[in-house]
Amino acid sequence: MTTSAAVASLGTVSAVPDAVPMKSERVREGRENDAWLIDACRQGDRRAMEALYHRFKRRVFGMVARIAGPQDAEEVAQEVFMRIYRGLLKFRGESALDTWVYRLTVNAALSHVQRRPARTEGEEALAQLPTKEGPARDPRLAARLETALADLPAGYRAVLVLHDVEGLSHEEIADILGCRIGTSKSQLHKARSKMRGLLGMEGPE
Amino acid sequence: MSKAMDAHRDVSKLLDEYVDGTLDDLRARAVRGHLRGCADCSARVEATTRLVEAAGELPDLDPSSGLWTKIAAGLDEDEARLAAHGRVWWWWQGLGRRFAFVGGALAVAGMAVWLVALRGRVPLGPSLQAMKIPASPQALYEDAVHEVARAQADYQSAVGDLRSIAVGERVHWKPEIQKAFDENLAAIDAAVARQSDLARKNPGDVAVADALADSYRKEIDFLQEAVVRGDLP
Repeated sequence: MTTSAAVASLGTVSAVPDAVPMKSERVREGRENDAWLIDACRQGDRRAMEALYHRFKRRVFGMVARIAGPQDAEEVAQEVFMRIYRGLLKFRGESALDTWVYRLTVNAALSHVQRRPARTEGEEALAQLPTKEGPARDPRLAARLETALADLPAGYRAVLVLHDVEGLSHEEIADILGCRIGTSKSQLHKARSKMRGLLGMEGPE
Repeated sequence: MSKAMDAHRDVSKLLDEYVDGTLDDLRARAVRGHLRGCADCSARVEATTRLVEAAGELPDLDPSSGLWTKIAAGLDEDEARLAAHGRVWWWWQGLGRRFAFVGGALAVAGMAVWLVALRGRVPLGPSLQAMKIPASPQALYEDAVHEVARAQADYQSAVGDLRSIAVGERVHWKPEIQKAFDENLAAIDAAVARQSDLARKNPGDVAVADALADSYRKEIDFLQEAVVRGDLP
């Protein structure tokens, strides 16, 4: 499929589905499907760039808002997408496009947290993130969890968001964060323990 | 420490994986057995399960509808910034592909020379003998030497182009920059001359050819930095 034909086959940009939970089989299939999109973006095709934006906007924005806080989330998300488009010129496909995008996202969110002097109103505003009415067994717990995320150290927050909110595996998280699988597991263990404590759910270890 | 305490300590490390369902069957069964008699671990599993469920049910967050417009404006600015580059940048970008080719050619040529040299010294194993390479070692060797010579000619040509640009740009530099440039270039020139001399005396020596290519690359890096810096306002 040529790039222009592939882009044309998208129809309207709004028809492009949002990112879905990453599973290993999807990643494999995705790599082939992503090739034309990457190629079109490299050539500066705005329609392809917009398609890529719509595909990743929720996950990028969600990760940034939950790791760095919603106050500056749009600004950081904008920075992430600019890095994505610039970085695609050098992207060699050594990792899946999704993994690469999430790596840029987490790195930008964590850098933003580091640049910030201390806890700011942005983190306080995590409490204001919307909680959708839905099938949650305990919607109040979800709302309290969203608020308590701001009280976790940034590293714990990143692992907890990637694993428990975004549903990524430890292998994928290790790839994104550039750490060992064991480190991802132990960080998650500590993050959950701390979170249980913040939510008043902590029993004796 | 009692056996029960040991078991509690060992099992408590596995509870996260148990909740995530990533534990193997045998250990998962052992954990279930422990949970039946351990209220603390059971409470932790229940709390973690609720926590993970709540995290998984957090809503998707949507950016504002204007974010794409801002990003598109940023892309426009990027393109405008690229278009504003000076002539050195345009020239250098055009040369980039050529260097990638030269680097690849040199690597292939080096490998061929190495293989030929190895073939002359080490008896081939059965699998390599079975390959029946059609060309004679001498022909392969000559091809490789020719490729290396061609790659070096490309490097020389690139260095010549960069030098001519540097000469044009040099007049705009401060005197101390000109002096530092001249001194550094003279030192690099001397290194290239030494390596060229060695390469002439040892045709087909991969290590020498590689050292010469390395000197050329250093010279190109230096000249590129000098002319690009000079190109900046």
